[in-house]
Amino acid sequence: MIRSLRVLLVFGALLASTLTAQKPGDNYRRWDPEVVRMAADVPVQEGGRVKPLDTVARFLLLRLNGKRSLDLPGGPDDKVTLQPTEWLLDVLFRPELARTFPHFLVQNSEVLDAIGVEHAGKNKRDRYAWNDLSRSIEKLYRLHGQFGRIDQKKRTTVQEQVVRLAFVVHEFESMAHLLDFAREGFATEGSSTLKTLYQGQAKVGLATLLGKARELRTAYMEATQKEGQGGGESSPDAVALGKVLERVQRLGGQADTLAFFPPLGSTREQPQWMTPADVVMATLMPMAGEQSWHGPFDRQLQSLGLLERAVGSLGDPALFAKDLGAWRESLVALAGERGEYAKVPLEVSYYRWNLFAQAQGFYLLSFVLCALALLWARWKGWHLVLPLGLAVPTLLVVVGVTLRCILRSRPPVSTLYETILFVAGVGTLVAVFLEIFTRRRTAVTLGALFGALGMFLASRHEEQLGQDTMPQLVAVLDTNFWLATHVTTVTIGYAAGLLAAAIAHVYLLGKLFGLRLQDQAFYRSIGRMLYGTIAFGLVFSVVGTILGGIWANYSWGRFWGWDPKENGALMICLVQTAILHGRMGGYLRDFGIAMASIFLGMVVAFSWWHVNLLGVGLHSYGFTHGTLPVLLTFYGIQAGMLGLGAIAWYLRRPAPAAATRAAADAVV
Amino acid sequence: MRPFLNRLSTLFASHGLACALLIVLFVLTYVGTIAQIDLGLHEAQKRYFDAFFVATPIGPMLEPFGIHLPEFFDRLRLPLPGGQLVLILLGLNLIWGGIVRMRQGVATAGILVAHIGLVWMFVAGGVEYLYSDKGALSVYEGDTKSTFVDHYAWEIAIQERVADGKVRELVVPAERFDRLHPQQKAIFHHDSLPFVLEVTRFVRNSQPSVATSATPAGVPVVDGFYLREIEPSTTAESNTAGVYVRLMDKETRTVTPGILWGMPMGDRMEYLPWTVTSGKRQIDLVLRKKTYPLPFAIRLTKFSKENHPGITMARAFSSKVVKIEGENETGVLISMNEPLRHKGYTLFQSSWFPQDEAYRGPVASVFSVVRNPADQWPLYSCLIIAVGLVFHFGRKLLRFLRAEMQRTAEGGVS
Repeated sequence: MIRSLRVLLVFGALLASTLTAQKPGDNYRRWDPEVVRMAADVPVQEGGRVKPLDTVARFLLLRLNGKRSLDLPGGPDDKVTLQPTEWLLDVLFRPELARTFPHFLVQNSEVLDAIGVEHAGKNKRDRYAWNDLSRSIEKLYRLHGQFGRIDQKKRTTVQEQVVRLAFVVHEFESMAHLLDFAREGFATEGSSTLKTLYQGQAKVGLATLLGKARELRTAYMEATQKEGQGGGESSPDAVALGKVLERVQRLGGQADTLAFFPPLGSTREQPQWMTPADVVMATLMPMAGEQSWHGPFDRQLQSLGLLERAVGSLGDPALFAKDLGAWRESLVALAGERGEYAKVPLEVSYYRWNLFAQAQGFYLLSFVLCALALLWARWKGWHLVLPLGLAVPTLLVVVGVTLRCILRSRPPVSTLYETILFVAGVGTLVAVFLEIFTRRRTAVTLGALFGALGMFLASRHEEQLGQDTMPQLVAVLDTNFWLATHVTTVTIGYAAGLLAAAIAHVYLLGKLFGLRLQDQAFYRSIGRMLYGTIAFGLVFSVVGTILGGIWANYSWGRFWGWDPKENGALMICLVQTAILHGRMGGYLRDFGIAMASIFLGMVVAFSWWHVNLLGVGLHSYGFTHGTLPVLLTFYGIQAGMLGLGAIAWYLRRPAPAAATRAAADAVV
Repeated sequence: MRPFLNRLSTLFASHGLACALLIVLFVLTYVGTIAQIDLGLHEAQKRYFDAFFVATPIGPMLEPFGIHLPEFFDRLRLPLPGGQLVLILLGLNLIWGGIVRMRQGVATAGILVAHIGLVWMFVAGGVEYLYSDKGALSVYEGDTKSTFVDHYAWEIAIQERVADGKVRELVVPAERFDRLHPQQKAIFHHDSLPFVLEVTRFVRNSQPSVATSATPAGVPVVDGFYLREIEPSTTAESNTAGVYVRLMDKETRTVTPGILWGMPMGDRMEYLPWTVTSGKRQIDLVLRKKTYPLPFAIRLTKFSKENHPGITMARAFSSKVVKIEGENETGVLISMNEPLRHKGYTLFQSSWFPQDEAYRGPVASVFSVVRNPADQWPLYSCLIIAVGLVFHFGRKLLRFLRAEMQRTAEGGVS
């Protein structure tokens, strides 16, 4: 009885605490939209290129949270949704609040068992706040050190997830501590030198302090010299000076996560931007031979001061917006002088417009229209509406890809992510084209599905990647000529191969389920579409593959090296050539070509993605983590389709007498 | 005889043979790709694509799909024609069926042109395979080199300094001794040498080790050392060969055993010789990668590596070199995708060492060197193939579009 009462009491207490517990969204104070807008296009150099802070926030949040936005439980609508820049503003300027956000996605609760975090009442896959993990972070880092030494391919799932969690926790902590130097200030108490230098101010900011770096350092050296002459006894002034300099180095030194400050000079001479830590080091410890202590970094120091002022005015939203705007203006001016700002606002817009997600919606809408066209088949307007319905999302993809080309100053395809966009775009463009000329609604329906699937896969790949999808390229890929010729043509070949496989599905499923069996023209039309798509693909695959060889000859000195990626491209060409020769030789008719096209789709998937997983060869720069299950599912479905095709062939094979008659007719 | 020849001609011109060979080449390419996981690229290329026949294990075929067949299948082998045989047959089929016996007219003109382009590409491949030399040239800043070394092949060089500081060199290529059975030996004489060279054993990838009681039985031991065999690396160019030799003095008949190990060492990564003395003569023996002369010399003035800002990924690397031919010196910049082509040789910027970002000492630039008489042929064949295919399929597309437009104009939409 007593035991039951105890259980009830504990349960009641838990329930009460759950009901009354403060949730992160309850008292969340949103940032002024103007502040968010200004912060979004603050230029930053990260990953070797200049980008908006919004892009940094977007991919950091994706890595932590597995999503491009963050839902905070609580608030008037039961949840508050934060966009990436809002979230990063919290992490940078209100780190204590950000530590309560449940933004660490843990895929498997065994990871929490491994590091000793309580997770009762949570799902196996759930999100946690930094405060939930804080007591176990030391253990997390220890395990990271241990598991990080294991070859990635040999790590268990839990070990891999521990390593990833430690990585993102570290990333978060670096961001959360980035502005510590601006929050705390530097006390001048106890040092007459500091009081004199800073005109009696009790506390000064980092930029103010570094503004007199030369005098500060000279005073410290003199003080330590006196200390040496005086038998080693430290004067209070020397002690206080030493403490301040130590704090400057510690707080400034840890602010090395984001390079906000463009240096003076051209991008050729000074390509690397400066983090706050770089500004501290450059000002305090100038390189030998430099004329001025802080002359070349005056403007960076001013900008650092504006950032400090913004941190200091957090309590007053209007003042904060003004100070943040001033800081942003200083950076924009510096970056603009080097010609490095022009594309930053465009990149913010590119992500804000979210063209590929919108395209996905329109592709699905286009598919719905195709379904409606089946129900009201007699309406004459469909032949105009359906291609237009597919053209809209295709145009969005084309615009999105073009924007990426402008932002990167690159041809459309230079990463695996971009191959997905390009394959989807080309596939649907070809489908629009086919539909205009065939008007059978088959191409447009397939195009809609093809495009929607492509956009879905691109989105999933971006999530898996969790990294900027506009990265810098390794030296061998740094050639727009070969990217524009070889990579583009070979990717068009992929698109055509996959579209052929998609068309083949219609043929085989139609035969299997007995759709329009009497309408021979329908199947002949699909057969012609198949032939045309394979022929189209063959031209691009063959030319693209040979161009790849020629590029290899220019870069590595050999035309063909039987490298897995080269072999994959060759395999696509071989299957396409075999299909066309089989057709010409009379070995394959429409049914056989449809079956072979399904196989072609599998070969394209193998060449496009799977060879990168083999871990050998020269083309190992594509990130493919987590791809194998998707590929295996695809192969499984296609193998199943081949099985269904075989059943369809068995069911629909002509009776022997009819076959003989057909053969005799053919001879006559 | 004539009916047989006719049947053979028909067979070689047939689409059936083309399809069969394309399928076989597809299977071969697939298994040759999978084999690279265990064998590495070079060994897989040799076994699958440079061979006439291949017997490939069935076990690993499905491993990329996560399907591990029982061990029994590792012992089962699927016999296939090797890459060389398939490509020769495909070439014959292409010439006979796709050019000589193909119906000729406007309808097939594009295909004919594409086939001619393909044949040219096959020929380019054959010329490259038979007549090209490929290797690497590594040179430190300030140094000059006029030779390059093979990626894989080894040789023993016997060197003697003669008048005017010149070096006389005799070379024994490794293909003369790299397949010896344990009881066999290869003997090399030369009138100019005071000794006879006996090679008793070649180890493809090795590490000299101190002989102990655990040293495998039957392994030769020289001065307390033996060559420990190491599993050949999947990156074949990183294997370090070793060889056991015996020198028999022609006059005294005394035999001196030795080990040559092909590991470049020292600050400048040079092959260190084994020096033997015979009377007043000092002769060096070196096991080294097969070395080819260049018809000109290269002096590296400056190697530059440029990273993307803020990260350690190389954006570009290039070498300023001086090309030296007799008295003529010409400055040239070699960078990625911008090789130096001269006198039939092409030098490509390939790598550099040491690659430690913090290293501030002398840097060596590494160039891939190729002599390939068919260097540009694939480019020309690609253009021809593209023209042929575009003409053929473009023509078909136009006919298709015309027919479809006519059909829709007649109200044939269903």
